[in-house]
Amino acid sequence: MRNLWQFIEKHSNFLLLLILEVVAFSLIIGSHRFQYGNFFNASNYIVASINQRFSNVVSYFSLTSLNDKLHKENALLYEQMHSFQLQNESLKEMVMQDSITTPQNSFQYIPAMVVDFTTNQQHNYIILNKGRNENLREGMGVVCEQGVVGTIKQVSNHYSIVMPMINTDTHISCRIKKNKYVCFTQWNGVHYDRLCLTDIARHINITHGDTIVTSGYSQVFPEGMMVGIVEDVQDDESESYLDVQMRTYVDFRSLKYVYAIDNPLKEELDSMYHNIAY
Amino acid sequence: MGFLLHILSLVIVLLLQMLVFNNLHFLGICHPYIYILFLISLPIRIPQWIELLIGFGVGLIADMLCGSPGVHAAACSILAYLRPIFIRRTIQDSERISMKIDGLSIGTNEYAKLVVLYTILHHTLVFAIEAWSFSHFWLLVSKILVSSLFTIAMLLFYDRIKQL
Repeated sequence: MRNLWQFIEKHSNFLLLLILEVVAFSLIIGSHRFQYGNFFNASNYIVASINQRFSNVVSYFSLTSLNDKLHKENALLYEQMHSFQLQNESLKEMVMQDSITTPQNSFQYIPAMVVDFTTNQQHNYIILNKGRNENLREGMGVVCEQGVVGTIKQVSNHYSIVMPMINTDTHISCRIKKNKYVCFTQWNGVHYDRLCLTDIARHINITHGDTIVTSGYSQVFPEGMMVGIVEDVQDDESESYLDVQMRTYVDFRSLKYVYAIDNPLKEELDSMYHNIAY
Repeated sequence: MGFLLHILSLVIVLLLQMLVFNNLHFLGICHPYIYILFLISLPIRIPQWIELLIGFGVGLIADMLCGSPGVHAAACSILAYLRPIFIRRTIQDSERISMKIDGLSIGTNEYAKLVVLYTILHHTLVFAIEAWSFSHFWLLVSKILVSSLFTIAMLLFYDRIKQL
């Protein structure tokens, strides 16, 4: 017994080391069996909260570089967007030309961008970024994806002025889609998205929601392009024509990409009309 | 006062370990453990059983910081047990043994030897216990070497600054 005590006293440090190692390795083995003690869960909470606070502080220092990075990324995205827009435009041009230059109708579409426009005057106008140099001529029709915009009134070498449908002087020949009845648009100068339809006799069946399309008679627009939807029909017994209000398909305040319509046959047709007059 | 200073240095060393050196994953194999500076610079004249308990405790805290229960505790206890032997081997001049352990008190060369011995043993133990096998032997060896080099460089650099 005394020998044992002496042995323990002599090697107390080594025995302590052994005990500590046993504890440490039991922890290791315990962790390998996914048996984390509460001790480590609690400590993880403290350590995590310190780490969180530290990273909160550190993240402020990197804000400037982060901002720079985002800014550069933004610029890149803008660049990409612009190039895609251009690509899209040229693709649209190709598609339009392909589908339109079929034998039965010879309309050609020339893409253009709106430079300036008004919607609050009696004689509103739209200015396009293409003119005589790009084969735009006076009298051409102008459309966009949604439908009819107007006709070209004046061209310079690089720009052209469009008389939109919302100009009190513009009258475009249309027809009611469901019964092919021909009428004309007229703007009363109040709402930029409302047009009147004239020359509709009282016996014509026209109701709210009817679609109005171009007639194609003037050869300015191809037949069947969207013009608007009938909003309100008023039948006044004292008048010989109906008072029809129509909402345009085109939003004149958000116009950006339009197409001028070139019809090479129009001159030929005009000369025929000229012959009739004599 | 000296006791409080030691506590403070322990806190600083552990915070540095946790916030800076634990986030330093250079090449994926460099995991320096600079907190052993505290164990190296403990006073010489303390009872060994206290030193063992301190080593175990510091290792346990390091385990919490590194998320590896028991690994550092095991390594640090062994180191605490071996430290007097290391010190007796490296410091021939027995008059200096009562001093504290840094380059100024025991000589730069002796201190560097002590640091190298201590670091390599510690890192070997930690990485070997952590890996728990020799199946990726060369990865283990490169981890030990790179991390030890980094830790030794940091500790000697700190000692040099302290001497200025």
